[in-house]
Amino acid sequence: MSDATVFVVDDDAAIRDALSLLISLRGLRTQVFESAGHFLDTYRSEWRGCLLADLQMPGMSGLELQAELKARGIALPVIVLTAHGDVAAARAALKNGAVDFLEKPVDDTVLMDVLGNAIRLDADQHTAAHARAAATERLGRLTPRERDVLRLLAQGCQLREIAQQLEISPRTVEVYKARMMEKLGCRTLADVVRAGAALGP
Amino acid sequence: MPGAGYLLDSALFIVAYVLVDWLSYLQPVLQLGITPWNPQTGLALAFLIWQGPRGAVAVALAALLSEVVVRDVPAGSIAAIATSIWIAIAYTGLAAVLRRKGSASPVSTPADAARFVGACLGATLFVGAGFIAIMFAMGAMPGDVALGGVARYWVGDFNGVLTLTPLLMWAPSWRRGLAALRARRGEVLLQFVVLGFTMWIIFVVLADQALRFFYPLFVPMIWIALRWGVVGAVVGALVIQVGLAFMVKDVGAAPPLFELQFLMLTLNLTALILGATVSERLRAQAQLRERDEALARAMRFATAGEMASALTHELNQPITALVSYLRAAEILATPGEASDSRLPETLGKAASEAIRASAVLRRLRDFYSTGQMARAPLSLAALCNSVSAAFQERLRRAGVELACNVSAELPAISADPTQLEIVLHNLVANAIDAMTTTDNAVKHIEISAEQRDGHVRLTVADSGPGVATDIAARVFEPFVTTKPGGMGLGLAISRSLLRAQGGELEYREADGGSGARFELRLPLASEP
Repeated sequence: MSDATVFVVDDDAAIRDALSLLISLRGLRTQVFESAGHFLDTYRSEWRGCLLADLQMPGMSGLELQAELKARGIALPVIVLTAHGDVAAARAALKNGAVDFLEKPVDDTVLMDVLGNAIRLDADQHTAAHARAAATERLGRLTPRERDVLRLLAQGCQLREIAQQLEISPRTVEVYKARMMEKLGCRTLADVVRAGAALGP
Repeated sequence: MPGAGYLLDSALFIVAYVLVDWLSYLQPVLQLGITPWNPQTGLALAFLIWQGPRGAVAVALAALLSEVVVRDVPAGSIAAIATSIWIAIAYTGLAAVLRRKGSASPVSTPADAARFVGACLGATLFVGAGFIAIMFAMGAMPGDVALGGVARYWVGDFNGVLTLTPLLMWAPSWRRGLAALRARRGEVLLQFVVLGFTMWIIFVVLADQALRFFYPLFVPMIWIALRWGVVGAVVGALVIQVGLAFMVKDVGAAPPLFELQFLMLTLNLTALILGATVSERLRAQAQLRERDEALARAMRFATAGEMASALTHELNQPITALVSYLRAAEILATPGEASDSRLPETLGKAASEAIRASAVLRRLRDFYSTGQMARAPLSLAALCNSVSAAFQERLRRAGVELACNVSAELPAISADPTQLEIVLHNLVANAIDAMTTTDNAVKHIEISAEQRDGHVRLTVADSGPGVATDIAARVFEPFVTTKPGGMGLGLAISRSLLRAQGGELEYREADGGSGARFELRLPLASEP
């Protein structure tokens, strides 16, 4: 989590500067952008952390930036800052998947709580995504036969039934099963069932 | 049980009835109480409308007493009692009809007047016919005069009712009327003098002409009606009638009774209908004025609301930065931390943000202090430069170029500097907003000015998408906007600010190519 960064997007130079100073003094890395366009141009997929964006900006507003991120499949958690209790805009932001919204002026305790939550959420999402990617990669290493065995095992079939269905000997099924479990790093049948679920029907 | 108040009212009414009857008793036909006009009938009807059916007894008593005191019971006591009861019953019926129809409220619209006239016309004819029938039956009136008697009695009663009853129905609001009279004292006096002079010429100087010159009296009466509405008109008709009655009595000029009656009738009807029409128009004008004022008030509130919303945003920006800088300074100043060179710098930045917030408040104060205009000779070039300077940051961000082609050679114009600056601010801000919605490569705003005869024409043109044709015609109307969060008041207020200073603000299609073009006409300072 040490590389998590708060990306501050605000058209007001003073607010950018002040928020960035405060957040960095509270121990989080920050990076500032003067417009939504600037952020999108610079964005790189390995960036971790969260986005703190002003709702009212000339050009692309905070809401539009949020929609654009969604369209590009960027899962960075978004927190919107509203200048005046614009309930309708805040609700729209939350509906579109913003993590939270903060009303200006914002005090640091609330700000740090919200930022902390968002960064944790991003880390969890990232870990989950990472695990999914690894599982997919491991499944890709299986041969078609090993894949069949995995699927049938996950459906709850016995070795004998599998042998009958695949028209091979139970002994051969045993061999496939052992190789498959080794490749996927499964130790128990429960691990196999979980891995089979990732395979899909 | 009728209370003491009712008895007193009735007694006063009876005295007034007899008195009025006696005063207006002239040229009677066969001494039977048929005179050119019977104001006592108008009094009786008003009393019955006010009191309801319980007033009938007083009316019957008054009529009987009148017969005795004024006419010495010419047709015998039975006839007097019978006619008195007949009059009381018939007019109680008319009063009930008028009360039910809502005409009991003062006559103030032409429809009211028409209803009132219609009901009274029928009822007085009915009463007159009954009265003459009783007299005829009692043998007090020969058959050959009976028919003419009905007509005369009818018109006499009708006249009395038309003049006196509406006036008495307005009596409860006499204080307001008196205040209105006092407010326009000079006019009232002049109207009385003109009316009196006309009457003197007609009834005294030209008395022997037997009312051939009666009609000029309509002129002052119509004048009064046009200025005062129905109440004034009826008072005017009453004055003419009273004057007429006395002059005919004293001077002894004796025009034919029927002719006199019809002159009066025409006068009364004209007064009532014309007066009611004028009253309605005056009332409509007053309502329109009130609505205009209400609209102006609503506009002020809406503007205040828009200002409050803009102010919240404008103030929140520096305050947000200020709070963050101060929290940062708090952390930097924590004892035990190594002294940090960023602390003084941060505090300095915090101070600048506080100053920025106060500048917002000063702008607001300037805006509101423009309640009274301070028109002053003013250089347009300086004003445009100041507006352009204020927008530098926004222009840079939006990638818009602003050109100020206003020559310093132009003569000074006369305008309130702050208000004109607000208008220009508004137009430039609109232009910038319009241009952020387009992908035009050229984002350009031009402020230019040229001298025309008697004024300077200042133009704010942009290279944005322009104003859609369906909106263009209504662009200055309040609450017409193309901006998602806009109130649609900026241009409406800008135009009213300029117009209040003798200027004008107009929208023109940009000639050739797209873009909006707003033209301001500003009066020259040297103009008288």
